[in-house]
Amino acid sequence: MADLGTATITVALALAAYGCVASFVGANGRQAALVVSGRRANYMATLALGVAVLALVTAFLSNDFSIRYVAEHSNLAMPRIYTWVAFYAGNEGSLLFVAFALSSMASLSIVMTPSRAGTLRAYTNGVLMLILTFFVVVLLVLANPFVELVAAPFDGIGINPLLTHPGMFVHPPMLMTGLVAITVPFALGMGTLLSGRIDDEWVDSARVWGLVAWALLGTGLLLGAWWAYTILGWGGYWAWDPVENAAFMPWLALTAFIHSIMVQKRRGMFRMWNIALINIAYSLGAFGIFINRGGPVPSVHSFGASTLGWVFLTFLGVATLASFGLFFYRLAVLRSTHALESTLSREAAFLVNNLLLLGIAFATMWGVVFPLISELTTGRTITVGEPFFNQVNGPMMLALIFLMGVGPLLPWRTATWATVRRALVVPVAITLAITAAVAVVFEVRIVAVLVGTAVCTLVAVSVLREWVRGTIARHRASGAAYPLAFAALIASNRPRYGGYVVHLAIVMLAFGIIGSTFYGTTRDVFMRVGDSATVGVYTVEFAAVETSTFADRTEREAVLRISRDGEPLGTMRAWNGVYPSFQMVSTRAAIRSTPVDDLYVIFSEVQPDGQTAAFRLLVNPMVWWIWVAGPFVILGTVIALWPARQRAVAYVELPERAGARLAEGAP
Amino acid sequence: MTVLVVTLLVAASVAVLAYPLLVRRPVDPNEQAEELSLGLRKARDRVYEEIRVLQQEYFLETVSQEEYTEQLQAARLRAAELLAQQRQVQQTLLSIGEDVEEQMRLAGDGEREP
Repeated sequence: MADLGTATITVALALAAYGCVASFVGANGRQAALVVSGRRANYMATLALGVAVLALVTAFLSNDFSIRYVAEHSNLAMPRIYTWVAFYAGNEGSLLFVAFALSSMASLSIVMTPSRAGTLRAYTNGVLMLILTFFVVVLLVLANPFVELVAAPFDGIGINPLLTHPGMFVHPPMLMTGLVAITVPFALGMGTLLSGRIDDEWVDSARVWGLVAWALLGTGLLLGAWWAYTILGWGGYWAWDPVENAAFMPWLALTAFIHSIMVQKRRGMFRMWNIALINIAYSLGAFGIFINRGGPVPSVHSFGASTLGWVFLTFLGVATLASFGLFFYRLAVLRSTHALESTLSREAAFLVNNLLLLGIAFATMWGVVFPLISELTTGRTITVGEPFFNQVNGPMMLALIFLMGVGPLLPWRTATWATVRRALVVPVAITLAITAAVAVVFEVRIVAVLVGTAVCTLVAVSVLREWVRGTIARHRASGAAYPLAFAALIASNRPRYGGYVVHLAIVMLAFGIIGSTFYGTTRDVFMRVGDSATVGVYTVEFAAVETSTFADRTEREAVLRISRDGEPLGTMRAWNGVYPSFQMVSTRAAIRSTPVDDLYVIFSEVQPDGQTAAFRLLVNPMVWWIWVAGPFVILGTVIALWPARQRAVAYVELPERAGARLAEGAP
Repeated sequence: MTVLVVTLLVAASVAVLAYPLLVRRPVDPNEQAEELSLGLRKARDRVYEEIRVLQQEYFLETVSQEEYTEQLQAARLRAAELLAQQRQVQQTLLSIGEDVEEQMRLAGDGEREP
């Protein structure tokens, strides 16, 4: 398998390099046959990398410990199901995964780009193959997962215990795929600049791939938060860890991009801005790969660290300089067909939304690079803590959510204050009434919570109001039943209403964050079997401890009886495992999750008597809403991406008739 | 097995990559025509979309009657202009094609004359 893996990666490298050269030379010299050949090299490189992936999976499944990577990331005791996780548990495997994901998306994007795109498609393919060549060179020369050991050990070291979690099956691949997926809209942008076709041809494809990358990254981030919540044993889900931030920053830039590309699609505006945005998103994605795979800063994800930092840093520098160099070279011709007509319009709202998103991204970037800067300048690593991120990003996020509520109510092009007043008066009145009710009923006195509740409510009310009004209007116009009228409303403008579903998901997420940040309760206790402890409204009784011994670990489970106001709620099991070969204790919190709150119990330390243990008991209000938001993000993205039926508009008729009617002054 | 798989992969790659270089596809004149009218069609579609969204916003009372009428009028005028341009391009291409055919026919007749 080692020979097969290395050989197929070598073939992939040759194909990617050929694809790059053939595409650029073919596009530049208008040699259609060479362009087609370069495109086919893209597809064949995917096939070659697919064979390499299969070779590594086979090596894991057959416990081929003669391959160093397999010996380092699996052992005989590892359940077969974790093969997929072990595949990307280290740098070499994850880079193979990244190369395969990039190659697959490159192929898919080129197949999906219409042939009429001409040289744009050829240059896009060239850029994609150039980037793929970089990853395959790193894979082959610096991080080959198929390197063999001189003598194969009888057993391997095993998989990192932190990775043996259901979330690991999808969280890392989603994040890695999301990070490299940004390459596609970036390559389309670069292809546009290289081809000199400074029109809107790239917009549709870039919007689709931007949304795909955005959804993959967003879902990956949520799954990562879920993994952190259930396995890291600290009761939280987001710690502004450098690796989390590394995926969060490009996600923010992509959020800006998928909004502003709609303005270009609708109004032919923001051409320069969109190219600049996708360049920023890609640079942040490359920065994410540098932080993620280069390991320059301490992180809970340190198991993925390596010495490849300088390679990815160089790549980041070259990619940023080249993309912005090309951008400035073409700046003179990157003119929009329309200018911003009014600061009181949806376009202007999109622009402010973009600036806020970039503001959050750059504040986060500052927090991430500050330890590096402090180390370079003072020789001491000073990390930036959670309060910095919360204080700087919190207000900007609130402003962003406010804009989510107001922006969609504004019309395109221009609006009058009277229009704005008419659009806002009802949602604002309902919002104020609900916020006041929340303040009174739940005795909320924290200003930040009240402001947060108000802006989130405004978004929800705006969206729901538009849906209700639209559905009623459609029902009246067509006589269709309300559910059908609602479905027709959604289908009538999928990007818009898909976006609204995502906005509602963001509101759920925000409520979850507000509730758990401001009203969480924590208590650390030692309990003997039979003891009870109270946290919030819950009573937790330590009923028993069960121990099981395996070849690579000792597992303990604390059986806990839960009650609330004296009423039994059932039994929970908190778990921990001791892994001697990793010198690590891994935990799985016992979680009882409801829409109101989570009871969260961490079983952290057992005393030598085997009957006394340390527990951390937490009540985390509204965390449930954070996880519920995930499926809504995916649903909204699918709605937004769903292709619309091509149809004519009744108001615009054949040119003669339309012209005649216009000449007659018909409305 | 490694040798077999790699040989197959390399052979398939060479064949797939070399095929378009060795077998030239004849140029389809319709492609050129399609590319010419594409930009206009896309611009027209965007105006259609703008009108559809405007109607929806009017429907939802996000824009006033005056704003709606004014913006609709402007959009319809742009759509009409684009449709006219598109038709002109198509007709020009058609007449060029007819001219070429006519020239070829005349050239053919000339060759046949004694």
